[in-house]
Amino acid sequence: MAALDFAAFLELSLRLLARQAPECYARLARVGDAVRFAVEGEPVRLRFESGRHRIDRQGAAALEVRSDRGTIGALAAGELSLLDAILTERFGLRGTADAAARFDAALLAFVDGAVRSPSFPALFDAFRRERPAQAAARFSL
Amino acid sequence: MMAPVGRPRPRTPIQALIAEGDAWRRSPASAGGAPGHKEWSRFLVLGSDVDLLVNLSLSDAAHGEGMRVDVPRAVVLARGPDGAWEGDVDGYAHEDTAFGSGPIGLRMGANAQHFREHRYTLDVRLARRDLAARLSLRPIARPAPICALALGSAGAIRTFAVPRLEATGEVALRGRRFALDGAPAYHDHDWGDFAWGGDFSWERAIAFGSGRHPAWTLVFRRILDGARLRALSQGVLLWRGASHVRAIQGSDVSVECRGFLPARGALRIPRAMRLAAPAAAADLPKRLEVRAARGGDVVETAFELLDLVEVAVPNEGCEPGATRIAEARAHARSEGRMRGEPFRFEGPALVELTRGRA
Repeated sequence: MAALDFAAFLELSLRLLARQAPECYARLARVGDAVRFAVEGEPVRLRFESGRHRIDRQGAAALEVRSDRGTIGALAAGELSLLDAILTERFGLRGTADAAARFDAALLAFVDGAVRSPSFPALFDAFRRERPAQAAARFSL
Repeated sequence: MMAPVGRPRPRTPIQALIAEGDAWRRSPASAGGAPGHKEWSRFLVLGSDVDLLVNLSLSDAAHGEGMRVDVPRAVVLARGPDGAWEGDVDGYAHEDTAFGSGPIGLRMGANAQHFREHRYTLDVRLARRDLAARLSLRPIARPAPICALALGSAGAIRTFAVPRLEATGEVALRGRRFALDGAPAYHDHDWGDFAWGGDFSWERAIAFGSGRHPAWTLVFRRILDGARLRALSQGVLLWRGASHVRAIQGSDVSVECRGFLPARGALRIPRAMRLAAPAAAADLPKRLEVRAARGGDVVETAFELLDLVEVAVPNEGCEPGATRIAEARAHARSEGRMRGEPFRFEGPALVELTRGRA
């Protein structure tokens, strides 16, 4: 069974945050720059507009993030620190220092929201094993 | 009815104090009242080869879709002979949770606590980690009376403590089995209505004297403001054998923190919180010195912190980030003078330090 791809995981997790951790989602929308993610597939761009997220494939980004599913899983499981992931080139960032600092603030808001969302652990498990339609239906998103 | 004049009042048996003090209070919201309740039952066992810390909790949790009442969670942490910690926090649905026949019994998933025939039984098993335990814990010291501790403007917490028990049973950790036979243990039950991330922090420690009987047991607790500049309350409680022999509180207690305990690389649960709240290198002491003196009685205790594990609790309300609860294994040495008699003991200890607004 194909696992939920990163773009679908990003979309579902942001919808979940908006619903279950709206303060964190609002903070994320305030600090989040446009970021392009390349995580085992076609790159996707995340940006915020009028307090809402948009995910698309084209357009400018302040920062590029390159990683893989295993690294993201290890980060979420606390088996790997972000610093160690960067130093071992498992989590690459390309952009200005200011953009990297804003990404760090956005990541903090995202994780803050994730740990406050009761459904997030199950969604993260789905990232490892499910198709997008299955996950979306299961989380009513 | 009043006790007869000239006769000492009969002492309430330990099990009666436990039956009264250790009952689950539960959220008022479960009966239509206000939400915000937090409650947990904690067991600490310090064995010769393995330590175990269990926290079964029922707490209200707000999120964007409303309030969940009496959310069941189990935190299980263990420290092996190499000093490495393992553990996790498991959440449960209400249908996986049941209260026992008495007021103390509770089961959530594969975890359960009961109090029967003058002793606790504790069964725990983590869902995703190789950590389980099955223990019988016999109280051997009189419980401390229920104590209300104000958390400044953040609310209050009430605590009931059984300062010393003897734990017998088995802990399974990372493929190894560790037998416990009369290992020193501690139990408390805390509840209150407050929000994580408020303007408070606390420091608590438990020290078990080892060796000669009757053994000494010491409990230290202190509530501070969030910046840890002002102590709101503090106290040292001392038991010898089953008897509670002294409590010294307030300005008669002074505390010194020395050195820094490295936190980098320490296990933090939930593990994703390593991303949200990076460890601060310099805010945990290597040594905690507590001096309590009143009248002619003096108790001087030094806790040498060895290593730690952290539990990160998301702050509530408008406060971002998390409150970090550091559980540090320690060795304690205590000496002083009690009712004119010098005393000295040392043994294993656990120090709990909260660091709010991380």
